[in-house]
Amino acid sequence: MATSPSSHSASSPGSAPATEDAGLTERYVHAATRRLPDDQRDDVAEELRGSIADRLEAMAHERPDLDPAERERAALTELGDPDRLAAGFTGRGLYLIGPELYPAFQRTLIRIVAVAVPAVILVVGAIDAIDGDAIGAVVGGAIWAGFTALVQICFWLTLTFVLIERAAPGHDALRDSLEVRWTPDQLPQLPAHPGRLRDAAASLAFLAFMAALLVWQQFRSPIDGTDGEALPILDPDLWSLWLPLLLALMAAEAVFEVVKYRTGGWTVPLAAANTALSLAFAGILIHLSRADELLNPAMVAAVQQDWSGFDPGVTNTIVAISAAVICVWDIGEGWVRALAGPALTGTTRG
Amino acid sequence: MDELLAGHLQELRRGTAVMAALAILREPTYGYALLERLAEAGFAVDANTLYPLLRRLEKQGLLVSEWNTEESRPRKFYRVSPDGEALLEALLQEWQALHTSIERLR
Repeated sequence: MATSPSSHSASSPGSAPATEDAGLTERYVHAATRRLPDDQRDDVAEELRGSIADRLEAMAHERPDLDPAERERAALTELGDPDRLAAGFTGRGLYLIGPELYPAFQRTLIRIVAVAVPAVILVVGAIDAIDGDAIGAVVGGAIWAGFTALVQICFWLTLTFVLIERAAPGHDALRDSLEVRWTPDQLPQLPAHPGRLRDAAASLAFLAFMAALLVWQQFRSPIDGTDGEALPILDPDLWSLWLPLLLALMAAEAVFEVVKYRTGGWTVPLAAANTALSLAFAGILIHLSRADELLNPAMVAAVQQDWSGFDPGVTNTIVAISAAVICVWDIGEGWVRALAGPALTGTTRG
Repeated sequence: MDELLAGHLQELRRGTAVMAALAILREPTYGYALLERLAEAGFAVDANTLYPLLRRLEKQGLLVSEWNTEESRPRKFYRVSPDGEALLEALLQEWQALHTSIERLR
């Protein structure tokens, strides 16, 4: 152990006060070998010590202008980061997620974030709105919750993939479930007709507008009560169940629009999903309007003070009929396009 | 252009360092001496690549090693095993085949 000239500080600590760097080589050898298995560590360390000593000896001839401490520094700098050397000895990769797993990691992350973060924002926003928080607090709270969800998802998903990267090979089932092994089935569809992108964007914008309208009428209604306070148009009691449900349905509808765009058009399963969503929307609106639970009674009373002829029953009937007509139209359109679809796109699909 | 050439030459030589090391190690040699001989022969391998490589080749049974404590400091001498000889032979044949193949393509 003490045969190497560069390890004099370790063998005779009292005799080397000349320079603080006297133990650099020993520190380097320790850093490069500390994570090796016990049965290899001493052997690799001894060889590395010898190799550095050989290099120092050669350097003494090449660079006589340098003093021994400078030579030691130069030789270790040449050898580079001891962690890199250690990784070479252990065969471990110098990365968190390697090129084999990275594409699956990226795909999974994008998929989860795209679904979970908007869902968290909507749900947290709806709950805060039900609690009657101020609009600013609702928006701020929802965005903060979305950000927290994003950070959490990124952290845990990255940790999962880092662990899989380090797990012994042979966890094929796990890798298959994460779609690490690529198959042609994972190929994305060709970009749809440009018109479809416009349709999808318009649908999403409309949904966002309706959701905003639903929240807006609660806080910034144009109808004032006798004390000048804004009266919500819809019955505030509906926030306990029905309005959050409508918001959730809008979120589902938004997901549906994205899926429809990525699929490249209507299919039978999409038409079926569209039927379910349309029936749920229309069902809620028709039920509420027929039971006269839709409008805020205080708002109705305030309107009737200025306009005695205002009849909430007429409004309810208009809402119910409109909901039914739109529902039938929407369901019908979905099925017609889905069933006609294969014939129209037959040339591109082969 | 020189940088471009240097990059491609480095790529080309990367795979040949193992062959060169196996060829030199027909005579028992220690790590630093092997590094210098490789550099002289134009195979610029970094020390922090070569030392782990020697361990890996030994683990694969292509090299055998022995500590020599007779000189000024103990040194680990590496030498090709019969398996290593056979691998070098196979690599050289492939090398020749690639050369012939490229020449025919030109």
